[in-house]
Amino acid sequence: MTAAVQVAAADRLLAEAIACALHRSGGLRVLPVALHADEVDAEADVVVVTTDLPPGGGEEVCAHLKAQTGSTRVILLAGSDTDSVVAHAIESGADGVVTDSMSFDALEQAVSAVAEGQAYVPQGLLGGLLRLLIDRRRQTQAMMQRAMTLTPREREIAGMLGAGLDTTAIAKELVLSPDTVRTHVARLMGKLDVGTQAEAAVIAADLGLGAEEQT
Amino acid sequence: MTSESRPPSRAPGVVTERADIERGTRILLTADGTGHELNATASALWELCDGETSVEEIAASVAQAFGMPEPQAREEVEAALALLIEQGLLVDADRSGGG
Repeated sequence: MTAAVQVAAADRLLAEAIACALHRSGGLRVLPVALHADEVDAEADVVVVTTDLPPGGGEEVCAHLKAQTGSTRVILLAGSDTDSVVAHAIESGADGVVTDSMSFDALEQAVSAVAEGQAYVPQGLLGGLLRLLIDRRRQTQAMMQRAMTLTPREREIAGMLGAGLDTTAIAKELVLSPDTVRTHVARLMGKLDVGTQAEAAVIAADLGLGAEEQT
Repeated sequence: MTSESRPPSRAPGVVTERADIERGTRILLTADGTGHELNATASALWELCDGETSVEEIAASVAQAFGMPEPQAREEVEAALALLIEQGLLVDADRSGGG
């Protein structure tokens, strides 16, 4: 079956140029381009998306598509070829990553590999990428160990911070005084070894803290 | 190699003669002057073998990067590492008598 491919980018000229080149390379059904996340076609087998796609960027589209359909495969066109950019793309669920410094041939290879269910990672960045993924996994495991020391109440409050609630809103929700909530927040920040409430919120969201209490 | 095995490390005396940053490939020379050309994946795995990073960690990162199940990644990583050990490019800590 011919794979349906859609190019999604903020820049119309870029999107159409890539779509046109993919169409010419043959063997693909190229769908009309998307200039906004809302225009991304969930029927596409492969979406080639740039990191600057409005409103939230390519990584957000990628995570959304993965959560929504699960069957759409995504290639992220990253503006810079650093290990961390590629790692971020992989962590958002991208099946392939192609960077600006690579050739159109590389993009063609990526599309054909990804359409066949394989993954595509820039070969030259592989070593650094794997090292980064290992380091991040270690950091997450260390953080999970720290999160294990939180009390159920602290986990619940951490989860609410992660969901974007502030101290006043948490106090209202849990029918506690703001001072009590602030004490819990100070304790959980100490246990998580973070300096700011925002950092605690990010960690709580990443680890899914509090989600178990809400279900 | 079992899940309890100690992680392999780069063999002493092995040096990189040439590395192609773009393609990720690398030519290694063993202490006796034998050259080995590694593809991007083998080169990346060789680099990760610092004696501290476990086979499980390497396999998990490969699984994540290539979107494959961890048992499959583990199998492929173990096979690739076994080949690098056989070529004298890595030292298997369990067989080196180092502890």
